[in-house]
Amino acid sequence: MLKIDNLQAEIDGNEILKGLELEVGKGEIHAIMGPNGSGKSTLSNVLMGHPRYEVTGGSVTFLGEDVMEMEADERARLGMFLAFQYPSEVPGVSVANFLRTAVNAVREEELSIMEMYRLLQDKMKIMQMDPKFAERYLNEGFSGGEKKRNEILQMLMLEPKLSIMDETDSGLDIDALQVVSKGVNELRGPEFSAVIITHYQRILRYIEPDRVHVMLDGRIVTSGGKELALELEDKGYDWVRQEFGSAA
Amino acid sequence: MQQKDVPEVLRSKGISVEVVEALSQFKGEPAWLTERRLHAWATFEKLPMPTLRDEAWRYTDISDVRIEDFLPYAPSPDVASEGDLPEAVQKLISEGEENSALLVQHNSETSYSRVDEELAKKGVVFTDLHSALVEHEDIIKEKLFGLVPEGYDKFAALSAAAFSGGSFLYVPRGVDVEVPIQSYRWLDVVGSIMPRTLVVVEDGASVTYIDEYASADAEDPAFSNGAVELYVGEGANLRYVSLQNWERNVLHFNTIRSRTEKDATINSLVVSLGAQLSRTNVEAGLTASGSDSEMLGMYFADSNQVLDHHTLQDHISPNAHSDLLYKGALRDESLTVFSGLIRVEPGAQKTDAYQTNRNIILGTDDAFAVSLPNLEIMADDVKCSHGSTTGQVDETELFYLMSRGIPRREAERLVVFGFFGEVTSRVPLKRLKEKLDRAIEGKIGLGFEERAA
Ligand SMILES: Nc1ncnc2c1ncn2[C@@H]1O[C@H](COP(=O)(O)OP(=O)(O)OP(=O)(O)O)[C@@H](O)[C@H]1O
Ligand SMILES: [Mg+2]
Repeated sequence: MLKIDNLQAEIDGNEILKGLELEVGKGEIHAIMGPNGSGKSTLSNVLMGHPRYEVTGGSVTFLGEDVMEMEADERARLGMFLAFQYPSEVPGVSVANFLRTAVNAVREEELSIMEMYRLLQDKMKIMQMDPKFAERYLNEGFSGGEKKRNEILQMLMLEPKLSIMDETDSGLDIDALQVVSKGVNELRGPEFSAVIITHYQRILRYIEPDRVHVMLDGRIVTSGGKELALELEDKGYDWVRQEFGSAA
Repeated sequence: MQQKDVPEVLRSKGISVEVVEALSQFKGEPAWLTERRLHAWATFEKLPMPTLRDEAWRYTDISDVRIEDFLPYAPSPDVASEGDLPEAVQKLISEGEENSALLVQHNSETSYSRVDEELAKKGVVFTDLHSALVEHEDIIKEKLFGLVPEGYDKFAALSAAAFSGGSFLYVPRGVDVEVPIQSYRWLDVVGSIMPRTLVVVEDGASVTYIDEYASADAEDPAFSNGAVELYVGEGANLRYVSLQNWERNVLHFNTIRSRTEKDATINSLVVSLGAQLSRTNVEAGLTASGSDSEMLGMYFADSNQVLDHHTLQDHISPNAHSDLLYKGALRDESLTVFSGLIRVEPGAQKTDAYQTNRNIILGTDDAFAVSLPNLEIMADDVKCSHGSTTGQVDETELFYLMSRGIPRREAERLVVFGFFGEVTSRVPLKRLKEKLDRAIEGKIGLGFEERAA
């Protein structure tokens, strides 16, 4: 489904991704953990096609298609989704208006106003969001946790084939974490893959990963099963640096 | 207006003392008004034409504006019903807000006006200034030129001397006019249009008044010079909308000034979309405690348009509130100027005043937005703030929208509509909003040029 080969990318002339390898199969959930600044958000943004990053080497294919030349909207229509670590605020654009535009852009057939309304009501209920949020401006004045819920709401509305979740669990209270996990598990199935970027093993208790990867200095340095997350939490990143730092 | 013979002097280019005299006579005005006009003409002649060296005109070059090149007056036929108005005007009306009173100024004359019977019964007057002089001379004598006097600036002097057409709206004490009142200024000759608007809302009354400027496409330059005086009585409410949508041959000058009595509220919205050059002064005088002025503005400049707004929140009395939000978009090689001042006079304690100007530049390095927010505070117990931002459409915002499958062009549209939405959402006029949306849509057109990386 997603195949990243020797990916190198820089921002403003600073090399951040230094030959990253990752493969995510259909229906799989992968977790990526790694210290601050190791390049996790950079990876997310590069995968989604953020224009500020320059890809200097390697390749990314999604569903067999080379996505590196595609604009972000094309990638999204292909089935990729990124839940942002820091979602943008878009003043004056209501959540409902934005979602209507996005859903209609991604779907082949436009939904009627009624269908759209029901879909949104439905998904907001799952995310335990007050229907009033639909009329609020996108992320404007949202609390940290509300923004994260809103990201997952968007994911549920768009039903991507691959969702990259960049620290969606950070800043969530315990209840919200469960709600967000429920949202993700809602989509879980043979047609849905996810890459969960996190600092905590907590979310992985709700959404069990098939694989866990450790990222260090722009590379995946080691991978394992879900027990690797526990081990990391136990031993910290110093352990990873000592074990794998030389490879970096 | 009867189709009397227009005096020869009004049919040739340029304005002179003879023109002013002939105009006043032609309209059969009382002697005091003729005198005021002549006095204003003398002031006009005394005042130099503003140049880039004048602080208030530092960025707006009007050295090409030659008032002597314009016909001072252009008549238009009276029409008996809306159906006889020019088709373009009928279209404006049908796309406009539902109205309870309507006035159409066609070139220099009012060609049609109507007030719903029910309103007329309540004593609401809405007519052109010249007709109003017949029945309401006293109040006009008292208020006309009171807020935009001849000494305000060169263009105000010209307005006082040579105005023609214009409208007078009077809402008696306690009358609540629910359905908006609308006037259209329609220009389809090469010449000038100089309406004066006088609005008097008596104590406890409320009304919405929309003033729209539009014209037929033409090559040669035309000149528009307006003055708007808004008096809002104790506890009264006035919502005033000025929508400037001239064709590109027009040079537009307008001064809008208001005075609010105790606990009165004025909400103004000034929209500038058209004209080659457009200069609007918007000044709110907060003259009594508890008065409140919301000042909204939006402008969208394209090609080489120059759209200039000067605003003043003049806090004369203590305990008044004003809140200004002007937002502008620029594309191509356009220039916009926003210069705003909050002035808190000595003794105007407990003033609450805010001022924000925001500009977005759409995919060009050649457009320029001047933003000059200013405070002049001469009292010590006040809450005032001002802010200003100007920048390109945020690439990260666009990326966020695009990452949800929305194509770039659509994402840009959303951002621009969102940007103006902060203004339009504060105006409870549905058809007007739709009209503004269509105008924005038209301005965005086929998308912006590739933005500079
Ligand atoms: N414009 C920039 N110029 C230079 N360096 C940058 C720029 N933007 C990001 N970086 C650097 O890139 C590195 C990777 O950042 P990134 O946000 O991808 O890390 P991360 O793994 O997501 O961290 P965190 O866990 O804190 O979210 C950081 O060292 C950051 O400082
Ligand atoms: Mg990050």
